[in-house]
Amino acid sequence: MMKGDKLRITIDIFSGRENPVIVYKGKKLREVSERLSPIRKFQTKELGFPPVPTLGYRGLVVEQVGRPVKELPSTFRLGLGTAYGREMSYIIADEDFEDFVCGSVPKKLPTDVFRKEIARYVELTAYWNSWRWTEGGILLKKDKCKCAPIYEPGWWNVSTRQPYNNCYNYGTNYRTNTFAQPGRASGAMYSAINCNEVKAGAVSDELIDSPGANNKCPSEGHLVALVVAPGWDYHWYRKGKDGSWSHKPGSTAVTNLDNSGNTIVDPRNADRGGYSIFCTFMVVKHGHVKIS
Amino acid sequence: MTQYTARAFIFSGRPDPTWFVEEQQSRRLEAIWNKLKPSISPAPTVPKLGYRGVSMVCASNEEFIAFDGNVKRKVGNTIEWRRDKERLFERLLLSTAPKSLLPAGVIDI
Repeated sequence: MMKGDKLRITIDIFSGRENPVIVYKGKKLREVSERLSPIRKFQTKELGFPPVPTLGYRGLVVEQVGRPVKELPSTFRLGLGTAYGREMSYIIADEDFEDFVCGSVPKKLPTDVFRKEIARYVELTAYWNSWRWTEGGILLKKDKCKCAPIYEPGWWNVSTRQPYNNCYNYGTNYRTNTFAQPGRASGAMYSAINCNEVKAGAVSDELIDSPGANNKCPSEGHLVALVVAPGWDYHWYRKGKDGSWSHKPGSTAVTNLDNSGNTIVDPRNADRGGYSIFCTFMVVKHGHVKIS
Repeated sequence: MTQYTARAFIFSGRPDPTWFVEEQQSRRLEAIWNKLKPSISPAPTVPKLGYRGVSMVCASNEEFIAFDGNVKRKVGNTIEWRRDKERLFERLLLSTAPKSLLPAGVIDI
């Protein structure tokens, strides 16, 4: 490190006002340089910058005067622990570098505001990472569960299918028009409404009990979840291609909302009305199950 | 004699419970219907788990569906809505179910 070396960091956050700038030099520069040292190349599967301009925090712009960090270009952008420059992207030593910068922000950007903006930026980046561009330039949601059925309520919610197929039909993605019951096809239908009985019926229909699935997609087939309203009914949810859950409450329409009108990220935490017992996750291997 | 079949929309996995409504009770229900004031169709609701209403269908294809203070009458393609703020129609129809057919504590109206 040479005398006169310094780092100018612009916090890219404002739209109308000039962005705040922090200049590091001297002793502080040595610490900053260590934090910015590249440790490995960025992998394409990792989060990148959001692909569209956004209002609010958008990352840091780092300008090196005298190149105190030689492995990095004289100017680069930095966000969420990744440095992006011309034909390069690296994970830096301090993946929480922005948090470190919070300790030196000028007065016009209060620390708590900056921290909130960083948190929002993390969410925004994760959101954009769940989409992909096609070769034709169309933005599509990435498929989280490639083997899972697509969410197509329009196919189920018609008068020839909706009244005659229940949550078990929808969960297994198997239309029978018989209001299918766990175990009925294999002659082992449940004899009481509790987790063990209904699950045993489903297992006899060739569903695979996967209590440790923890809301993760299986490598083959798709994930379903069994819940029970003790003594009076059971219910099934299914995890779709995009990783979200949907269900069909009895003879009503297919929906991806819970009883509070919220999308279902995890059936264990969804508003399930009286279906208070979460029993288990199970896997439906396509072509293996038989229900009636 | 007009034979009516009632059904409570309540289950998801099991088939919904159904029962026959005696003629005397169906006449009382029709009397309630006749006193109700016409209304516009309520906003559609999200399909939910749990109790979602009760219906009564007769062989001549006349159908009543009651839920949340609204009663719908459907004959062929003709649909008519009436407001039943006190839920008299819904309560009476549910009360015609045989004892222990409907799960206790689930229907809270």
